[in-house]
Amino acid sequence: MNKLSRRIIGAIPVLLGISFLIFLLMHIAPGDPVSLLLGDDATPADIERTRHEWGLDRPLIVQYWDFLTRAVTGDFGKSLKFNEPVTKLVSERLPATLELAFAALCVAIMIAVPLGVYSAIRHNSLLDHAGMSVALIGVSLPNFWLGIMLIYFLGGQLNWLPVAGRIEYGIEVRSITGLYLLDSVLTGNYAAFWSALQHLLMPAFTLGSALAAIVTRISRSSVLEVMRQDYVTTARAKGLSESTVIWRHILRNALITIVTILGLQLGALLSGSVITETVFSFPGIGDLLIQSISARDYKLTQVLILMFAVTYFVVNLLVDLLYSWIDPRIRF
Amino acid sequence: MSSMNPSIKRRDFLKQGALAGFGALLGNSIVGASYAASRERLTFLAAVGLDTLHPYAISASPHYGIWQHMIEPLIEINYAKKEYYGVLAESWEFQDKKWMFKLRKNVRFHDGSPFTSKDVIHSVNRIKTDKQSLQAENFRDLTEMQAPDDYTVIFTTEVPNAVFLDRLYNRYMVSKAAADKYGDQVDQHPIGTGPYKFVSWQRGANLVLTRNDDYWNGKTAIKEIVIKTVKEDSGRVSDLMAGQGDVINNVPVEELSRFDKHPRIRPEKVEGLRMHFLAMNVTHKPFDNKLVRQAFNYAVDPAQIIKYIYEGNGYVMNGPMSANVIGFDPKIKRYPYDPKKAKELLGKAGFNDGLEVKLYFSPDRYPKAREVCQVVADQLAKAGVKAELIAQEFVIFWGKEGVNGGKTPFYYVGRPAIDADTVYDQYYRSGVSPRIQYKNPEFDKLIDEEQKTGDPKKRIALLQQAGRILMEDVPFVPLYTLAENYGVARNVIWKPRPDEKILAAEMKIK
Repeated sequence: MNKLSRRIIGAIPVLLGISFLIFLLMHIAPGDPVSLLLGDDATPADIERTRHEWGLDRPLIVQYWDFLTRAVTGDFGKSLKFNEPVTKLVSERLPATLELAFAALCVAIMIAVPLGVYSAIRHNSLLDHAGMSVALIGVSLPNFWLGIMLIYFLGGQLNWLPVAGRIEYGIEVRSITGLYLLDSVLTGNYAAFWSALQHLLMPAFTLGSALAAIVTRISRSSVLEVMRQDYVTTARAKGLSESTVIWRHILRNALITIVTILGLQLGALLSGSVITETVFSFPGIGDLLIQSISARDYKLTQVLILMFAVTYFVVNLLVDLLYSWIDPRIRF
Repeated sequence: MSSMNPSIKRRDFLKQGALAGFGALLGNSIVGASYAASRERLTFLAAVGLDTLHPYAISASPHYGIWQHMIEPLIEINYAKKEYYGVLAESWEFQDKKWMFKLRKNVRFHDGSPFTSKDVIHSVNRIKTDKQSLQAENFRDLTEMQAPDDYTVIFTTEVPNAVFLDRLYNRYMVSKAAADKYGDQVDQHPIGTGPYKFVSWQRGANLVLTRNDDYWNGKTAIKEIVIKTVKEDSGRVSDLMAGQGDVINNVPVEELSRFDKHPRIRPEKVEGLRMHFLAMNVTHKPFDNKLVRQAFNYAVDPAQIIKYIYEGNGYVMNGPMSANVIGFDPKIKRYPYDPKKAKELLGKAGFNDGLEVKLYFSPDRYPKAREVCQVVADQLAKAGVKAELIAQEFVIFWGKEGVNGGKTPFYYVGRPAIDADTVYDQYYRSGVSPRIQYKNPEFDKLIDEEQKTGDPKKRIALLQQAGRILMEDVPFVPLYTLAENYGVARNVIWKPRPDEKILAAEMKIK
């Protein structure tokens, strides 16, 4: 059995453990989803009846076993708040979050890697200091504040970009992957592409900026470290051009650290999307998670958090695979 | 062919992508043009959108307002006159345990089928029995429904129920024919008799509606309605100011001044229906003591809260009910603000050295609840009461370990109503809910009687009498109703309603 399949099998007990922990925590947390759902008019009898209908009056362990046995068959149950199958709600929303996370990642890479590398190569220059100050500010700015400021200036004052949603109404995108940008290009629907891009810019920048700040600093220090290695000196001594030294020797070796950070942060991006999606009314799973937790929608919350866990796992696996591609000495 | 020349394809892709991106950055003109308000289309940026297309899995006013474009109730209320008028019902009669409704003729559903008594029975049945319905409670005492002909429906209740109209308020009629046709997929095809027809919907995003040109009450002025969910307050305000919408609701009071001199936007406000009060559960000490409850009433001054916390956007309540409510009594006056008198009463109650209480509130439910409770605590302090503030997430506050389990002694709460009976029955009648646990046979008797009395004037007199009893026993401190604040484009002719429903049929665009 190779390492890859061993890792996948190893993930199963972890996921089981996580699912049990979330289940326990959600049910231990105070709060009564049924009273909240039924609202002002409900009598105690109504509340009891509904609790029974949803099976919430059964012992916890029975509820968990029920969840587990159904989950194995792919049935995650119905959401208490939305009254619809959890899988339907999640699959409706997941592409939006993935699109946002990838867009944010692109924003971060496009800003951070060139800035970090340049700062390292010209370290202690004015640009290096400026870049590092911007990175410090970027990492310190709270996500929600940046989002609200962007809404205020780019949306409200300048009217450049729409402040909410994923696409202009009336524009239909034929769904292939669920990612609007990709689908609109695949179907040649450029009106949809424009609209989706406009809607994505501010949230992606908001979400990507904090990551960009971290990645800038990491790229800078990683490149600086590699620059001091003997093989770089050797490469220079061989008379290679500076650009070959930077691109083929320095950057390639510095990439390992950068990719690790990006991989770890992609998980953080998904959870960071919780705030960004709320601020921009972006219909993704972050926004759904907030709603499900405040309604104590046990099943929905459970599935969403499990999905976050699976995402972390998959991303980490991909990062490991990328390692061996970047540095062929690393093998599974 | 494409595989023969992949590099060009990629380059094309990048070019097109770059072009599209550049276009998006030039968004000003694009955004501006696509959103500009026109005579034909109105965009409403809503703080709360539809979470589901199930017409009965909702129980909040803004949701009712959205649905009322497509599906209609039997009756509506005229807030100025505090009277019900017929929408799909033409007239009604109440006798003993029966309510008989005569339906409007020549009303058709969006699919062309006629609206008849069968649809009413189907709809009420679904409200009552559908597992997902959040409105079943309203028909808990309904024992029988009959349709003697296509345009008559008779409802029979367990005991005479004079407040049945209140229960029918916001209960919408859907098509039985559509239910037969689509089976369990019927909610994917919202078909009603309303002034607007369903076009498309995405959860958490846009709902698009188009005018029903065959509407029984005449064609409405605006052709297309887009209801877009924008939860973030500043997002709604920014969008509106940028011309990306025509109407927004739930405008925070701090933002209102931005509209005052705005060339395109005006603020609109109306007194809302939610009555805020401090509730005292009388089974907990010291609230079992009437003198303490009265002392608290002397100690709290809602006018200060309205002035400083809500910047004047509120209306002091003079009794258990606000002026908008059926059963309001203009003769009832609130306890005047008098901390000295409060102290005196507390002394009489045996609390000469003051007392300590905990004030519970839910900041995620009521706007500015924390600030309000801080002011209340300050005011109570002047009467010698030390109030500790306890913030709870609403799902805890309202749950069985909180208010609805009778475990919260003293709390800040808000409740909307159009008929005093709703609140009197639920909060103050013996044994209905554990929220306050007030018991007074005399009061219960008045509520029993009022619920059987068909004559509205007599019923109101009974409600007013019940209100006076409550004002003497005060298991609550009445506070205020708040203004519902809107931002509206100046070219939209519209006055907001107290019930938070935004109905495009009541709007025109200049």
